Amino acid sequence: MILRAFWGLRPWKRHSRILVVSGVMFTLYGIRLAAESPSRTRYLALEPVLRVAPLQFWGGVFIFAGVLALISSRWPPFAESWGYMVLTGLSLAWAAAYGTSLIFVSAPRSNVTGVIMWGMIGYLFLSVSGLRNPDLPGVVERARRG
Amino acid sequence: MLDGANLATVIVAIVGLLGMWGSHKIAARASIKNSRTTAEVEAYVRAVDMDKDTIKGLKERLVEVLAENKELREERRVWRIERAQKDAKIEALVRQNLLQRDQLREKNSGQENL
Repeated sequence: MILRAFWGLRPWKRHSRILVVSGVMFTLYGIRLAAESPSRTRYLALEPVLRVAPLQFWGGVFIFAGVLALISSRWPPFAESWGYMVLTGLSLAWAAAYGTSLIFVSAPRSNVTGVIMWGMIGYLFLSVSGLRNPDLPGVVERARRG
Repeated sequence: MLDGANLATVIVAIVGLLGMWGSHKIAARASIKNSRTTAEVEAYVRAVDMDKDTIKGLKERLVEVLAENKELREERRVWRIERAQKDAKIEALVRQNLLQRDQLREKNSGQENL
């Protein structure tokens, strides 16, 4: 009975498109991170997360998040916005990593850009997850026109 | 030991989790609104369809009523003609009756004079 709830795909809707594009973006960024060998400045810029695991691991996390976002665009049928949770969490955590290393680890000032950019991306996902996702967006207009 | 870098790691983790929680809350609220909107739109579309059916039925009925009206007008026209003919006939009969009465009265007065 529980397995049946997980079986099948959701119809393609507004959020599906956003999640697919975001998933691809995160995957590509993850590949870039995984292929990067961090310089000293880069290490300082992301020290709070690089103390936990190397940059390649975080690249893998971004790739995994991207793949999860891609999956969440159509599955499971009963939950349509869990992909945003992953993307928002990771984006804001990444912004916090840039921000906290600026405060606690005396990272370069260029980290401000990272804080603003990833913070805004996180806020964007936070806002977009609250948008309505009608089955057929045209239905409302069609109904109003009669 | 919770030095600056470790604290930063903890903050990163907390911010990430808070972001996930916030996103979940907002998405859940949107999902409820979405369900309500879908239900309202479905009800609206159903009502519009029902109205369309009613209007279609009324239009068909109107065509029938107009056809009936035309037939009844035609019947009324025929009846008016018939009534006019009958009125003329009655008038002729009345006139004939009056004439016959006059003739009878004259005949009776002639006999009395004799």
